[in-house]
Amino acid sequence: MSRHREHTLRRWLKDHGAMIERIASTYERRPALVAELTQDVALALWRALPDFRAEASDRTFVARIAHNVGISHVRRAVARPPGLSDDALAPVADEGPSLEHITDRAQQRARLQGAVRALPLSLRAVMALHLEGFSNIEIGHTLSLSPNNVGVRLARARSQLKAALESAQ
Amino acid sequence: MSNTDLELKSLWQSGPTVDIHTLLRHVARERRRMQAVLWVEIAACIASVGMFVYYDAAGVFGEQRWLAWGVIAVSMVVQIWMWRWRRGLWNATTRSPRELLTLQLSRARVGLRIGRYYAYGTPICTLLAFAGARFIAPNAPALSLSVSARLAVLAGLASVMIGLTVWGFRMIRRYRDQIAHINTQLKEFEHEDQRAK
Repeated sequence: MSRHREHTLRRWLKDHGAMIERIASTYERRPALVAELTQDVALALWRALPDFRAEASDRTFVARIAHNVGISHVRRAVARPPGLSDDALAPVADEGPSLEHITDRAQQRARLQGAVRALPLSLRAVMALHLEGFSNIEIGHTLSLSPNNVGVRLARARSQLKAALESAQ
Repeated sequence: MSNTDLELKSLWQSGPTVDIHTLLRHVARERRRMQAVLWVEIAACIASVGMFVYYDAAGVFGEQRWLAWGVIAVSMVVQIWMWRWRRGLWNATTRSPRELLTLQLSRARVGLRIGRYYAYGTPICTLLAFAGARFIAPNAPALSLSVSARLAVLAGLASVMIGLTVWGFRMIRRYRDQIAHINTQLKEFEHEDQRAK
């Protein structure tokens, strides 16, 4: 690996690694495959690094690559439409203070991930980036959409997400 | 579960951290693997051209030397096209999701066409070749091989033909599914665009 390229990749993975994994979890529900998809994103980032122009922030660049790798992954798998499944509701590894709180929070997060996965692709990417804390303009840059378009999609994604979460409870 | 925006964001971002060393190791391993594959492909290309030059110089091809060189030239073109195809797919990840889907759709259509060539073209070409050979040279002498050797050659050819046909049908099924899937995704995008207007 060239030193500068390796250094940049390391920095991106350090800063955005968790975001990459969360985005990967909107395209795949099984933890092992999420990890695999995260690795694919890391490789895609390495390949795409020479194309990075500092016009956009590295966060939007990384998010775009992660979503595109997710789209390609789903196309290859041509899996059944994702939805709220038993797996998505399964408890996740421990994190947080008390055991009850841990399980509860992990389950809530798994539910949220499942509900985001159940959204159509055009809304899923917008909602995932919104939950990552992207502004509408940043989401627009990442997905090549106008801020107005992002706003409309976000409103629809919110209502669908709310319905999915309520039905899951 | 409360679903206010801030709580949802906090919940969403509360996931475990990733091990970047594992990711970097994976990237390094994959790069080594891809480089090895590339070197093997380059070596195979050079070896096959070298072999052809050697046999050509030895006069093995005789009257059919232009046909043999045609075969090797086509193989090289196919190899270069495959390299470009692979490279194009890698570069596509920097595009917008809609552009990526459009590109994938066109690629899937090419894949479907290639699958059809294999699935339908292989048996049709085989039959035409047999029929053509009978028509053009009905009294051609049989191969100077023993019966068992002839059977082995025929079995080998048949298994290649059947293999190509089966592979073609599998490609057709895979690319048809992919095209249907990508079309659905693109329609979703269009639908959302119309709503946003």
